[in-house]
Amino acid sequence: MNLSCVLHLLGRLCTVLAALLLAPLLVCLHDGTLDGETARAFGVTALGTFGLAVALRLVFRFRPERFHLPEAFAIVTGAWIVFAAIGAVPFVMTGRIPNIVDAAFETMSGITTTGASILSAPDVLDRPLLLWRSILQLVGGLGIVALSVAILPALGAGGNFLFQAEAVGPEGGKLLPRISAMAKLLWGVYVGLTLATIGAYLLAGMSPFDAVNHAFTTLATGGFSTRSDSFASYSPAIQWVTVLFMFIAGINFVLLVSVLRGRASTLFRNTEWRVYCGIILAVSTLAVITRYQAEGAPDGIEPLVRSTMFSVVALSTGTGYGADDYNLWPPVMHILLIFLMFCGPCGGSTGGGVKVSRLVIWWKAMGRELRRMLRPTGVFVVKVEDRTIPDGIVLKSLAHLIIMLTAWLGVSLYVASTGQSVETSISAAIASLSCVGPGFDAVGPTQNYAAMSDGAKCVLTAAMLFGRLEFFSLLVLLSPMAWRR
Amino acid sequence: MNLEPVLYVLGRLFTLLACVLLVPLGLCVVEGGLGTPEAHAFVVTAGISMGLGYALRFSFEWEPDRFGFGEAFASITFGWLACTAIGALPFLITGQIPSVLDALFESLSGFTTTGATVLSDPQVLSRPLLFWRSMTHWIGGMGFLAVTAAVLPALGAGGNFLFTGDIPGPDQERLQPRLSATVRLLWTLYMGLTAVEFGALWWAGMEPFDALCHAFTLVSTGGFSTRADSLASFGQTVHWLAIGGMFLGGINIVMLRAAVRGQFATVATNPELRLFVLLLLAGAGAIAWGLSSMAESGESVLTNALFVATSTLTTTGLTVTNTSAWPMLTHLLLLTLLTIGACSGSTGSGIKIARVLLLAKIAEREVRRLLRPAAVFVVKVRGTPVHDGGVFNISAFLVLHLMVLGIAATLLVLLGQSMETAFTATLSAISNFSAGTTALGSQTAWADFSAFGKLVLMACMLLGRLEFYSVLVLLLPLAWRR
Repeated sequence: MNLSCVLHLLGRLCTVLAALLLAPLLVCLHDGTLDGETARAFGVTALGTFGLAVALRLVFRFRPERFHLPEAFAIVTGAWIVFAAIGAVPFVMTGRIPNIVDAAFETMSGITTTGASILSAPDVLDRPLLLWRSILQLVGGLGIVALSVAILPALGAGGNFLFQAEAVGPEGGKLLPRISAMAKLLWGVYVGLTLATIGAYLLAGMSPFDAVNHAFTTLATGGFSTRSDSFASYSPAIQWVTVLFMFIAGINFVLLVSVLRGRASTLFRNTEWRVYCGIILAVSTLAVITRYQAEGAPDGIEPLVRSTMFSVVALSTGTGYGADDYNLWPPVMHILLIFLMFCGPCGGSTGGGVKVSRLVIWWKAMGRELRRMLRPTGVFVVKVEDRTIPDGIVLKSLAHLIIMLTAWLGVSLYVASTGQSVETSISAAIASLSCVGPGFDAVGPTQNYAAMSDGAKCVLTAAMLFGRLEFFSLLVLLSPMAWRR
Repeated sequence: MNLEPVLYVLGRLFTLLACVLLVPLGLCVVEGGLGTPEAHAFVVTAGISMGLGYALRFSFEWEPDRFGFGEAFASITFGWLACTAIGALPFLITGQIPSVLDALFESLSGFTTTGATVLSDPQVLSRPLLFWRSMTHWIGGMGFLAVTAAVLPALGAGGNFLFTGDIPGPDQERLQPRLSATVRLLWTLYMGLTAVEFGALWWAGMEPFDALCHAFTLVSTGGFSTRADSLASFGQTVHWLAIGGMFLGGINIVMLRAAVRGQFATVATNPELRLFVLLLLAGAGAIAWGLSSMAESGESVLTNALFVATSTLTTTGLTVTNTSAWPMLTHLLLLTLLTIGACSGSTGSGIKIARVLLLAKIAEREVRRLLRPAAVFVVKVRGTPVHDGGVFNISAFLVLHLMVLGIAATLLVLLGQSMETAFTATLSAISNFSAGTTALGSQTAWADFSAFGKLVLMACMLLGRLEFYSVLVLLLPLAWRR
């Protein structure tokens, strides 16, 4: 491990972070609160970060020839930790979130686009801080697009292996230039979609400030809202717009690029996309039926369908906005919604979870093993869309399942040991590992994480990071092999 | 699939079962003569079994060259189902379990060594039937050992290297390569263990009938007891003997042979056995810690914790105390233990410790592979490399387990059970653990499930006992192609 490379690059990232910290000051300027303590907090933090950036860049040298795989993984993990740590400073400095653990939880939840909050009502934050929360998710979304579509595939990890039109395989070419070219293209799409979302929200009647905030957190499949009841009191039009853009944010961004270039047919030929749609439609249909049986449709069918679709898409993509208290849905939906949270949207999107692509691979790997039992000498391959999936990738996705389950079990047991109910523990664990946000019971859509013990908050914070980085980027750093020179 | 040889094998199984049915018949004769309804039931059942067996053996021919992998799996799965059907007859004929579904549930639960019972008090059964119930465990355990340790490896079917390939020690001792010899050896060990446990329980003050029934349950890690409160009303000595018995039932039977032969180094260095002991002690410790807040005397807390941990990890399900009032956290821990299950090559169920060990190694290898994409890393068990086929087999096992768990639990919830009950019951059934939901905090006994719920749980028991693959391959069209 060449730490000097890593620290130099982190220094560069800190420069970006310092610039980002100035953005909430625009709100202060607009509101005329530039002399307030919030503005001062952001100013001081930005200045400090900039100082740190300069120091890191001056002290440490970047030598491309010393930049290898361990360094790349260290950068990825380090970036998220640095953003979470520095991003928490304004919350603590203004005293709006006085507890450091709470602030770290909130910031990590932002930067990992989880959207779990320890605030009972976001109103305790003023407008600049609210915007900062949303910016954290926007940046987290940009980061995850780069990570899952450009960086991880280049490193040979990640869940985006079913569709790589402009493939960036682990072989050939220089690591950094390839990553940055890919990332720039995708960021263009991401920013474009964010602007489109702002426009759509404005057209649907949202106030400009809310529209910007929600657009930032929708495309990132984040889930922070500026309102304490999230989307519950917004108009049907706004809710439908949200459903649409959450759904889009759950699609593989490489696939989106391909569609935007006019090749719409790729969408319908894409197995992962079709399974993603199938899962959402199937669960929504079942939810509408079971809810109709349980509670009827007092306000008509449209609100029932809308609130169902909203929650299903919000949980499936890992956004976690609330428009309806799905905690009250029939128990069978709790299982299916937890399954959605576990499974997540397409690989190469901003969503969390294990990704639909891995689900497809597990299913096929399972089928292959069954066939192999009958024909032990036969040669069977795992095929998706007529493309053979190499055994190495199949193994990697199976290993992903092992790690995900282990982490889920461990986090659940820990949270349960702090005195939470079984459903709370299990759903909080998966909501954090899959970067969804809300869970069930005590952490349901109308609740928050404030009542968790500090220990549980720390573990869930770590779980968010662990899940966001798809486990492996963080795990390799724990391997002694990564630290050998 | 050639059904003829499969049916022939089933015919042989039926005739064998008819002979086995003479044992409880003997008990009837000793205790009440041939005139009792129980004796009548066993005679009729044995007759049906014998008749069916010979009919099949005469109608179909044994053609070894037409007996392939599909036929083997079909024989295993249908064999268990056939035993279940015959095994349910004595309950039905005597009318002591009047419902057909309940009798089948009880019988399948016996043959899969689950021990889940629809009876709130086993004492409603007469002694010969109680004996038969415990005996189904014993037969099921024997059958499972033969299938997992001898038949499947001999077929070369993937993933069963767990048993043969995992035998450590410098001499790399393998079980006898020939199928029948292996089976004979395993069964000798199994019967020897049963005899020892029977003697020990008798010595500890149980009457011979109870001692034999419980020896059957212990050695097969089943769970049926002769009393409603399981082992609670027996003394401390019996509890400790039961802990020992369940432990021996939960370890790889090859380790048992090594211990009998005095190869203690082999036993002490076995990674699976070490993890098994570690999990037992850690589980018992955690449970005792969780119970420390409850007002109980220190010694009984420790004994109870160790008993429950052993009973759960070996997926036996005997109980000495009412655990349903224990803290929720201990229930979660027990649920984890029973999902992991016992050692490979034992009569215990669950994912199996060898698989858990390998799963950890598989995950760890992927981490290393990320850092050195070009290097070749091999998953090894005690220096023996595990080929990729085995790695895939074990990983896919996890997928199958999850899928079955998810589908079955969802069905139970749809039938009106609570989430907790549904998952606890499903996991217990898959792991062939008898204490089930009542031991883990829910008030729902096995008998309380609806008819469809019982069918779901029965499917889980069979899938869990036959480790998914043997049953699920039969769902492939490939299996039925000629």
